[in-house]
Amino acid sequence: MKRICVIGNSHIAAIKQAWDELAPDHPGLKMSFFASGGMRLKDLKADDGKLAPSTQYLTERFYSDTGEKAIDPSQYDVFILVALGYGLTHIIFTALDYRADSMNTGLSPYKHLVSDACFKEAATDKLDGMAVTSVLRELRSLTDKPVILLAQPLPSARKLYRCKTGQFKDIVNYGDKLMDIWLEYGRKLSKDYRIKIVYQHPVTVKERFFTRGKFSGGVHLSEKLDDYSRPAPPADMHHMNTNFGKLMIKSAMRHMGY
Amino acid sequence: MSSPYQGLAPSQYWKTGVAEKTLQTISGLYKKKFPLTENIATAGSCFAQHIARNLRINGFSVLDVEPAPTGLKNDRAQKYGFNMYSARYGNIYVPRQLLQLFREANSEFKPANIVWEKNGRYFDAMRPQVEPEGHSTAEAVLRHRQDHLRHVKSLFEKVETLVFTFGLTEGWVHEASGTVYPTAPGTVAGSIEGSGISFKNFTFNEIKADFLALRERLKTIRPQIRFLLTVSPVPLTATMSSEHVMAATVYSKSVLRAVAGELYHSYDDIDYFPSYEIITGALSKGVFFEDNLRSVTEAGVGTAMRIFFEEHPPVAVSPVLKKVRKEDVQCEDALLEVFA
Repeated sequence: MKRICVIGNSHIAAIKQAWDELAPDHPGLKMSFFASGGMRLKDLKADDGKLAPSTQYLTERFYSDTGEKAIDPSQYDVFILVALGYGLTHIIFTALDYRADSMNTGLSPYKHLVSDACFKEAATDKLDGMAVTSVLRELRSLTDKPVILLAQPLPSARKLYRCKTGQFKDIVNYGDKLMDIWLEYGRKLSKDYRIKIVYQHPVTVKERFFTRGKFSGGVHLSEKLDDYSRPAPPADMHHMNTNFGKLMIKSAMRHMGY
Repeated sequence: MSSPYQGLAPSQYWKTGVAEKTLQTISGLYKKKFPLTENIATAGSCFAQHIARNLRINGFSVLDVEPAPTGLKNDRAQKYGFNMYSARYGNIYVPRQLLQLFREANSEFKPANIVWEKNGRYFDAMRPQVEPEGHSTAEAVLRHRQDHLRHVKSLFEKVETLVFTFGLTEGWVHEASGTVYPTAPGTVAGSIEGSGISFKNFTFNEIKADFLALRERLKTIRPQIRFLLTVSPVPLTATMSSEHVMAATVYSKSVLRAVAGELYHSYDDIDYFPSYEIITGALSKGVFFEDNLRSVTEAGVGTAMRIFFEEHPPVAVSPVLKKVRKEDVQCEDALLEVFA
């Protein structure tokens, strides 16, 4: 029996629901899920050999399907981290307001023009401030076991049609610049924390920077996972569905040798 | 026979107002003329950055029309001119520079020689430190400047109280156009040779007239605007006058203090906060300067701001009380030290 510990934020919901359907076909795997919404898991700290909420706020909003209050790394063979802020979406949101010189197509509005150097530092700092880095740092202080990071899904392609300002459509024109920053940061994470990063399956991708509409629409988020009172499915254009989750799990399993 | 000096308030005698006091017990050094309003804008020399940051920390509504991108760490944000003032205009040492910025933002003035080059990179001469690596082309500098001016214009349209710190009397002026620059060409970028830019030590009358011209222009779009002036206590790093730098500093600060005093006494809408006196006055005995006798210590800033906030009680303390560090303050003027 391979014991897998899955730690994530709201994006874990698609993975959990997918696993609920896939689990009967994989009797040799056991997945345990630990989560909290948004970036709350930044307050997950190594303490006495376990990863545990370090604040009352997180303690009250810490989800685990086993009912455990902390994560004991010795009980698992592999760790899967889900999103935790490692997403192109966060860089896209910076680009909606702050346009670097090389991204300025003149086709969509923005608030501030910044240099490419400034944009890159802003995007990198933003990713650096996400929960993924702190969870990895704490986890690696306790164990050297394999860690796989499932990248946050690209935003739904429905954004392309619903955004009236054209800002999302324009991303198709300069998104490579954002992608380069994102992937470079991912390579740094991989190197610094000795992890594998799994990006979403190509069949789920549309226009390179978006998730096909049929995979988006989200899943119902429990209160502990919903940090922002997101719109209910299918209007949620950042959380993906169970079919998406199944593809991510299968990719992760390939990395684990299954 | 009585003297008119009899029966004055204790704060009016040096013995009871200063000699028998400490900076913890001194009172009446600053009495506000008016309460701070919403929509405060800050500008000035590097000491003004302390005021801006402390106003924000203490819950005052300080405008920031060019905020840093979310997530950009503060030290890097400051490197790009964010989080220093109400826009990314960098340090503004003399009132004429601020007047010029106002006029430029309102398409009334076009500065000359605005792009400075260094090692194949291009810099905005009006704010040469907001892009530390410069831009790849001169055109990019102009595009960024236009974007900046758009925000500055919106700032002037919103401001209700302008907090301005007088920094220097010494400046650099393009002789043909009258354009004023915050630094000499060749300090951050550009070159003095053939630039048509020369040294100018602004006089009392010029500084006063420039500030009043700015006040008048601002009142055309913000009739209720008020002003809070301070004088930077930070000495000159270097002087282009022929005087000793200490004498030049005292001259420069004295002129600025005299202008601030004149404006304070003449106009109901202009207040003056004596941070200069708090840091440099006899009561502080010089302890508020770092070992270089130039940089103001955290304790000095803290003392000045405590006295300020006794008159302007904090609106609400920020949940994240950022520690103000001296290295958080960006000063082009300090770059001159490399030539020492």
